[in-house]
Amino acid sequence: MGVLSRTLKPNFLGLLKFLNNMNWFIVFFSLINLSVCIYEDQIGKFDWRQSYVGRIKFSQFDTVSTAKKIIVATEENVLAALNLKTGQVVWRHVFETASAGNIQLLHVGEKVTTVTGSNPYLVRGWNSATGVLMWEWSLTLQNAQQTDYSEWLVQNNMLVHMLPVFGSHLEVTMYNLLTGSNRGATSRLSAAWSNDGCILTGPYYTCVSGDMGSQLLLSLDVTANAIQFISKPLSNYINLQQSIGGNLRPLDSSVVPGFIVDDKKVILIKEGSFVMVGKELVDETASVAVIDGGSEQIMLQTWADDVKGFQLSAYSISSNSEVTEIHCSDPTMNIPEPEFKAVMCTRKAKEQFACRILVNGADDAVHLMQQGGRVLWTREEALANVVTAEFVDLPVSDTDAAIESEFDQKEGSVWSAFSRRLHSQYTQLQNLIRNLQGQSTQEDSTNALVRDYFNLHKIIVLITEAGKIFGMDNLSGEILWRRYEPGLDAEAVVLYTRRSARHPPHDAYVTVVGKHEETGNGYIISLNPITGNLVGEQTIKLDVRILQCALLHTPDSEKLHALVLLDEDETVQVFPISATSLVENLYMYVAEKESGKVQGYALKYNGASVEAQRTWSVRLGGAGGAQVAAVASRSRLERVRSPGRALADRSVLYKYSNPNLVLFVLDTPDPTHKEVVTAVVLDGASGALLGASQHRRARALPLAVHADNCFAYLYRSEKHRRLEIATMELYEGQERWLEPGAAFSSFASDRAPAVERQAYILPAGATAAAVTITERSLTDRHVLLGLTTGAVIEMPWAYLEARRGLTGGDEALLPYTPELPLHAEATLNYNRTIERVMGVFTAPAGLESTSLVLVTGLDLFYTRVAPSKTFDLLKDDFDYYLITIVLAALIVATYSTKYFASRKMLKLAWK
Amino acid sequence: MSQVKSSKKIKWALDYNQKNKTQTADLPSPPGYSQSANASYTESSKDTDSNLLLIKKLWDVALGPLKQVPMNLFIMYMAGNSISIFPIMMVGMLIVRPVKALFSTQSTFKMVEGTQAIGQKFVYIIGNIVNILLALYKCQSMGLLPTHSSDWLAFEEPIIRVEHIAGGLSML
Amino acid sequence: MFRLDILFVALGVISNVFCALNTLDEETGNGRYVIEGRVFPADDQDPTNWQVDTRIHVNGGEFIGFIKDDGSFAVHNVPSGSYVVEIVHPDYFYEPIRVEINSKGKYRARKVNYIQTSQIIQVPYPLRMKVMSKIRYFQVREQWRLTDFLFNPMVIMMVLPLLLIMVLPKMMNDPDTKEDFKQISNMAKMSEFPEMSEMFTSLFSGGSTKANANAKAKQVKKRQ
Repeated sequence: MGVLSRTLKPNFLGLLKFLNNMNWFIVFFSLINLSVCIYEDQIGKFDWRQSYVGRIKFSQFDTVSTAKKIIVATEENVLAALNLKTGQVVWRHVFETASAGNIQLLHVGEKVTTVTGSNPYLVRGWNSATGVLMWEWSLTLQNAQQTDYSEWLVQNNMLVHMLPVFGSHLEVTMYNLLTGSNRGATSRLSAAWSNDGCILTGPYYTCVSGDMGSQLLLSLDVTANAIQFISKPLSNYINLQQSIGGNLRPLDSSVVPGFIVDDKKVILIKEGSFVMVGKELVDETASVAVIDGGSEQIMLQTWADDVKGFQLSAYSISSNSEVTEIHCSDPTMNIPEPEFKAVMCTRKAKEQFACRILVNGADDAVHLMQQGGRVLWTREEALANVVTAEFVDLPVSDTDAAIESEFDQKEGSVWSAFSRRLHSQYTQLQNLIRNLQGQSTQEDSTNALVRDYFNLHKIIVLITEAGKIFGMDNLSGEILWRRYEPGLDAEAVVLYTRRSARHPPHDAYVTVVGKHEETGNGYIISLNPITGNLVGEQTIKLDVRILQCALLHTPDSEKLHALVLLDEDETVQVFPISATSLVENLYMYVAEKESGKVQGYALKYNGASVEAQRTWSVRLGGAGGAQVAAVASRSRLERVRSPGRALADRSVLYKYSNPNLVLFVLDTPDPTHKEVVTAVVLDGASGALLGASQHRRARALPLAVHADNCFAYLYRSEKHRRLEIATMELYEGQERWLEPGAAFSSFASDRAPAVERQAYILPAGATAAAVTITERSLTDRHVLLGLTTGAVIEMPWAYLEARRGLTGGDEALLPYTPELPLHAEATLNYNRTIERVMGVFTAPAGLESTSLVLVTGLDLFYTRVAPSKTFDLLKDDFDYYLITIVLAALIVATYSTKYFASRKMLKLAWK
Repeated sequence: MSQVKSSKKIKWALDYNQKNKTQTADLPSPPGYSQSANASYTESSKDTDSNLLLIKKLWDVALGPLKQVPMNLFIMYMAGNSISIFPIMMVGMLIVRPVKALFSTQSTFKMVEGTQAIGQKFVYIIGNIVNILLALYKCQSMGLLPTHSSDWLAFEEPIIRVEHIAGGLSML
Repeated sequence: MFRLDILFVALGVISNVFCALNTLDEETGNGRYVIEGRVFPADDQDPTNWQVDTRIHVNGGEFIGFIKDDGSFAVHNVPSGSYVVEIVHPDYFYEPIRVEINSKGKYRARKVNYIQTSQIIQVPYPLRMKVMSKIRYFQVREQWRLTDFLFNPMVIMMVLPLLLIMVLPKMMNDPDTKEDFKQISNMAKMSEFPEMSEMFTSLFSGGSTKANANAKAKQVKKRQ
């Protein structure tokens, strides 16, 4: 001890003084949670991505390289290679969406050649194994007229471009495929008989010309040096009395040049003459392919019969007999208007055909089949073009439904309720025992589509542009049901959830309101989103066109929300009719895109039917008219979480939470400033103008979001050549205008709120925007932006606030910086880029902290977002083991010390 | 050990105590000394002394809370206005101690019998109340008291919606 | 030396003009130009396949370019104007560059600055894009370290006093430290607080104490 004191003593005073002076500062971290990252081990847990290529336009089997592939070029301007065995994408190249990216030709030989664009054209060559670009050159045609009728052909390492001038000649130009050098000038082949019904098959340009009754079938080889011309009267091949004019249709995938006349006869061009195939087309819509099957040539046909389903048959041309192996007649397969895209057959020595047939349907689904019609894989390419999506709750399991039904019954007696409770508890106990003892398989069959505890498992109903409706499981991405509606024009389609699955004896009910493809009239489809079957009103084809539609907010006795339709002659139809009397306090507005006129209607029930009276009308953009770029109104699922926000001096700034606000973003032409973007906030019921903003020399993007009293919209500033986001927020002030609990009526308010505006620079291009939404709207709101680089960024509203940078605001306001930060950590889809993001859809989950997000575009991506981190869940890596061990150790230590201490006390007492 | 006070005479012990106590009259008193004044003085001072000591001690107790006010002020200042474990503990202590003291007033002043009991109790209670007010002021400066409207914001009811709207771009 | 510098600058200008003229020759009519450049991948990228994942987006996808085997790219048929050329790769970040082609066909490449749009920091054209950094998408999980436990304020508040309690008495027993403490306490001793209790006692006790004190004083005086 003396040593210690000797060393410590001189320092002891110093130590005391030091301890006195040291201040332990407690650092106070900011309350705002701005980090939005996920961890690397959470990658595949609650997100998935599906890649699509689009409706196949051209395709060819690639047999040159070792891995068997199919090279496809699609309507979505995508060039991709699909694995032959599984159908997965091996490599993919996405071209521009504009006409500059349209694929005109695909040729697969040693290398893959594509011609894209529409004057000027780009010719590119790709390596088929890896997809790497080998060469490219640009081609511009001199006269820009009639370039739509250009035809392309690759022959002998030469790219042949043919431009018909109807009625006079054909202009044929040949280019060296790799370098683009022009071999000589354009050669003109006289063809006075050319018209717009002509087709180019192989190197032959075939036409039917002449007067009715004496038509000629003419064909010209466009690549030959010497003129090779075949001309035969059409009557040799078809019966002119029954003919419909001699229309020509090309063969879908053929090794020999050939064509179909009158949807009946197939004619091949062999050795400079027409050869008619002995077999006729079975169905006039059939798709025909001629392939080289070893020693002979085989003609395959496929069509869809209404009764017998999908049909496939083959006919050997050389031996004039049916090929029985290549045959399929399957009523269960549902391929509407099947079309051959690529056929490849090989024949082993044992005389068995092994075919791989790529069939495309009108619903954009592509199937790879074997010769017997067995489908190896299917790709639903309609999902490359999703128009709208909606998340639907799943029904509860039977036991839970039984529990809930207990509370529904309104019996007065206490004893009966008690006995019912005992009974339900007993059944639950039995279930538990059964689960513990063995695998109870009765649950497995239904567990797939049962609501889970946190209501995270939902069904996504997707409507695609092809008119196909899908029901997808959101956790796995698997398609549960699909429904093809050929008559549906999905351009302005709206999807309503009329009844959720929360009301047990009634099914969930979803309605699709769209246009009929041919007539343009209204077309309404009602389905059960869990099973995909038609329910209720099923399909209704109206005889008027629909102007707008609405969902009634009050449910009827069956918990079904009625659908209210406003026709183009301003009559109102209500489905179901019985709900007509429930229509009250409903106001509608219709905006015209081209003129900027908005018309408001009040729907009133006058005892017999519902009438739409015109109430207010606004000409947005003034007399010059304007184009409406985007409309945003509040989501039906949203709730207002608090009437105001707290400021730094602890007073409250009350928000103007009008539920009837609508934002219109317009492009108005202006003589001085070229283009002006105007954003106008209207009250949808009364038509009152509540806020407006203007940006000069800018062009609006069709992206606008609205949540509570906040609005955000995007526009491109031409002056500074950048993309900007502008936000507007409406506030009442320091005092609340209405007493709390009072009813808010749009017609009673006569004061205009204060508008706060701000604009920020977005250092990237955006193509989609949405706001996260949660069940009770307590969590922060984050704006999800889909960028052109393929990333989906989560931008906290704290960065977009209109009051950012205001002094005297609350502590949570960030200082103003003009550019928005795009952190890589805020990317929802980390390194799985989504090509061409077109839409972002959000839905609330059962957990308050979580919002479910579906991103659509060329690919589909689903994930979960927690804007305020998962405050209502234990964190993922919650170390249960450490805590249990520590707890156990402490308990053991406590009891043992108690025991030992008492023993020691006893010993001491005995001394 | 046991009282060995036997009158056994030990050889080498010298006992100077005189058996008789009459010697006081023999010795003359020192100059200036008067016998009468002595007696009364000691008696009165003894009584008043003990009384006064008790009262003085009780006053100490009564003024205890007031003496603690400066120290409490200092503790409040050092604890800071942030919301974290140390300031909360200090505030908690500042509130709980006077409250407990208030409740135990009766037991603290149990032994009082003097005339100033009421005054002392009153002062004691006042002192504790001052401490409590200090703690409340501390709470107020930390922002814990719901005095502003933003504190009652969570209880305000949301507005009820009367009209419903629907619509959008024309679907024609 | 000074003249040599001017010579070099002149040479540079002339060569730029020549390059511009050369690129003018490449235009395929209608004022369409080509944006060319070369992309250098990161070292740990797969040398055979990186060209497929890397795309060139001009103006956010208005024109798309693809990379050839050797890393060079050319975006054809671009009219004159100002474009932002960005290389898009899922894992690596390349800095975007703004390429301006004026109506005479002169190219200028500069760094992108959205805030100060007229700032010009020139970058060589034909473009040479190198990887800036690997994109970090994920947050690192917090690992549990022993220092977290030791530096926890609660632990320090409990453990340190415990140590002090055990260590200090042993140090206290040392006579030298005792003296030191006495010194400290003497230094730190505050001046006597006026005995408030004395005051109050005197105030409320009224005359008795005073009388006694007076009597005492009187008697003391008397004695004297």
